[in-house]
Amino acid sequence: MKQIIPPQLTRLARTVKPGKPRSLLLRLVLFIALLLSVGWLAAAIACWQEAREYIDEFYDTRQMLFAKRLAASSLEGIVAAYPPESKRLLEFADKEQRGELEEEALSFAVFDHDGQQVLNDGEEGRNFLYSDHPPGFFNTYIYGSDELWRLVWLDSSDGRFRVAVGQELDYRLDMTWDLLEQQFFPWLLLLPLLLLGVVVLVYRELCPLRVVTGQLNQRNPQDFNELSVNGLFSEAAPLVTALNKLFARTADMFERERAFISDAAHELKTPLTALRIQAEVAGLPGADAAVKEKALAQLLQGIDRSAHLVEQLLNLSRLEAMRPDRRITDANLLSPNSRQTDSLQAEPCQTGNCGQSPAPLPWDALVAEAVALIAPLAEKKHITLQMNIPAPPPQVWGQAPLIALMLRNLLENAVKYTPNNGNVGLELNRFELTIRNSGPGVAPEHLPRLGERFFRPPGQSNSGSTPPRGGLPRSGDGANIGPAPDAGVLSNPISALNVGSGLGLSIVLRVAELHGFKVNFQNMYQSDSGAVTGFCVRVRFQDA
Amino acid sequence: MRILLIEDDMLIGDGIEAGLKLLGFSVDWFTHGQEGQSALAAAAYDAVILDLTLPGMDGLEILKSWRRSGKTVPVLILTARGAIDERVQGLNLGADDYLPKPFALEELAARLRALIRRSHGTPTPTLRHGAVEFNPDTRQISLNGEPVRFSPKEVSLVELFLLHKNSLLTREMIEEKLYSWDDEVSSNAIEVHIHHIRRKLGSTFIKTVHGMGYALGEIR
Repeated sequence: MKQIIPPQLTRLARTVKPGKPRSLLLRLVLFIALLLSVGWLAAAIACWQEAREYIDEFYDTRQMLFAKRLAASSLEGIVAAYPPESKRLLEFADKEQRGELEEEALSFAVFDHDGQQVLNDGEEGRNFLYSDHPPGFFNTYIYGSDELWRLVWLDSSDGRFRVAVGQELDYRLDMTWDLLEQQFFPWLLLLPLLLLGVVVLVYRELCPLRVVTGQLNQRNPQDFNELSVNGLFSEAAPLVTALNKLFARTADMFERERAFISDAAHELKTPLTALRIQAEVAGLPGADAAVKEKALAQLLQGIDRSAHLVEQLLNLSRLEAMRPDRRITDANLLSPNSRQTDSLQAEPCQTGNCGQSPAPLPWDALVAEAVALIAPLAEKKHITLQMNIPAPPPQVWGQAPLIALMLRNLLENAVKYTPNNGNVGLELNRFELTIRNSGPGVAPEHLPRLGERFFRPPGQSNSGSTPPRGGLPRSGDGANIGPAPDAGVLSNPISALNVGSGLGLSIVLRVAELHGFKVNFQNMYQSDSGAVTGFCVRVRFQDA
Repeated sequence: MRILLIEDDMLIGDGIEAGLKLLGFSVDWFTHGQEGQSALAAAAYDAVILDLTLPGMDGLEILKSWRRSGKTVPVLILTARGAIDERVQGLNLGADDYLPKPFALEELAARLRALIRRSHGTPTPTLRHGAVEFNPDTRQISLNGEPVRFSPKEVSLVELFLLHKNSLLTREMIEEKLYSWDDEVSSNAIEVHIHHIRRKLGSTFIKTVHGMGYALGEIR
């Protein structure tokens, strides 16, 4: 059987590649790892920038402070007291900054206005190269080193000297790295722990889903009990609810099928009983030729009747399996003028039961065919058939074979339940098909049950054969009763067709349903006496 | 033995009627519930075959009304739906037996005989009177163990007398049991049958009670 997927689902399905289902857990872990890494990296970059700025600002401030202090001190005395390269200056600096100098790797040098270095810290400061850079910061190389230094130049307060305080930029970089490392190293350690947590969490959260899967795997196909949504996370609950709804629908269908088969089997028991008894009668030792002949004739009738029942069962079962054809129901809803054959025919077959593409129904041919089938019975019962089809016939969309089946059943019923010399009429217009007969009608309390499978209103379950012969009672008080002088509506049965299968109207209703038609049964009454004058079936094509 | 058959299915009803007649019963067949219900009072039926799904009046309703009005005739119900409910309900309402469709004619006849026998208080199938023996299943009559051949009507007549030993049977009663409404009965048919029976089973087998009827054995 071809699987039919609604377009909106195929669209959804397209986003998921076919093949092996992918693990939610794996995807979650990978995604979270990726997300965390990206986030971490972005944070690190931002932090790096921030730290760089902060450290620059911090050391620039320190450098400037130191330079200012140096420039403000009485440099003349110091320069005079110490040679340009003096270890002792370090001691001085030590006293001033209490060891911070070394930590901050600050160096300094003092120049006179001739560019002559007059004082340095005895370390990297002596390699500072003089520049007449205006007071302030600038990055430069120093003598004998590839490293870039940041120097601040200031003029001394007496204006005789220039002070340069510098720091290696690499030192600042190292500081920044250290800072970052301290910040992010714990996070790196935490990442695997976090992912492990995700794995455990997801595994545990999916547990109810595995329980449901287990239940489904072990489920008896006839078990239609609901699955419990207890303990399920809300995202999976709709799936289980949908499954439960499916179970309910399947159970419903299963039950209907079961009832149908059971009904059908029981219905077959009656004709089988008739067959068996008639066969037995034909074989009884005392049976003479006339009895045997009659029994065999009845046997044939019984076989025809069983075949008819089986055929009707098959018809109904096929019809039950079909689904309404949207093209037909839609087409019949449109006004006759706006119907377009092309657009209808062009649409691809999606319903799975388009053995016949819908087309305007060929009423003349359909009615003629149905009439041909019932004419022999009608003739024998002297029933007048009046078929009233306008020319041209109204445009109604449908599947001709199904409508033929419907017409046949309706006309068969009409003729079957019309007494001798009665009449049956068919009328057709744009809105409805009406079939009337002059039969005894159906008791009002039974009208709503018409069309129920195997339901036969009392008085209509007689099968066709010779009715019991009449006679007069010889004794007792029931003088006016005799054995069934008239078998009700079937006073002149002709053939096995005269046996109600109890399915004819079910078939009619189903065909109508498949076409979106409405069927209505009613008795016809004489206006003055209120007596039933006939029975009428209306099939409405559209709501007028 | 006269049977009332209430069955709406033409082919089944016709078959039962024809078959039971061949098996020695006389059968009145009704297809309509109400008619069947009132027919029980119209003749002395030995048993009733009642279909449960009937037009006009439900089989169980008919049964209920009969039992309410004190009718004790054995009733065998025919059920098509095979529902245990229906059988139990039928038996509870006073049915004596049931047969689910499809059934065999032979079984129906055998059950009817058993029902009738029980209603006459004779549990064993073989009916006896002196040297005469009758087996209802084979419908065989024997005298001193030797089979004697009779026409079906005569067999039914012997059966009738054996079932109603020591009681007076009027000609009307005999006709009613032996013939259904549609049988043509000539005025001296019973006399002719009894004559034949006496010739074969001995002139004293059935006594004539002058001006009243016949009897088998002494009337008590």
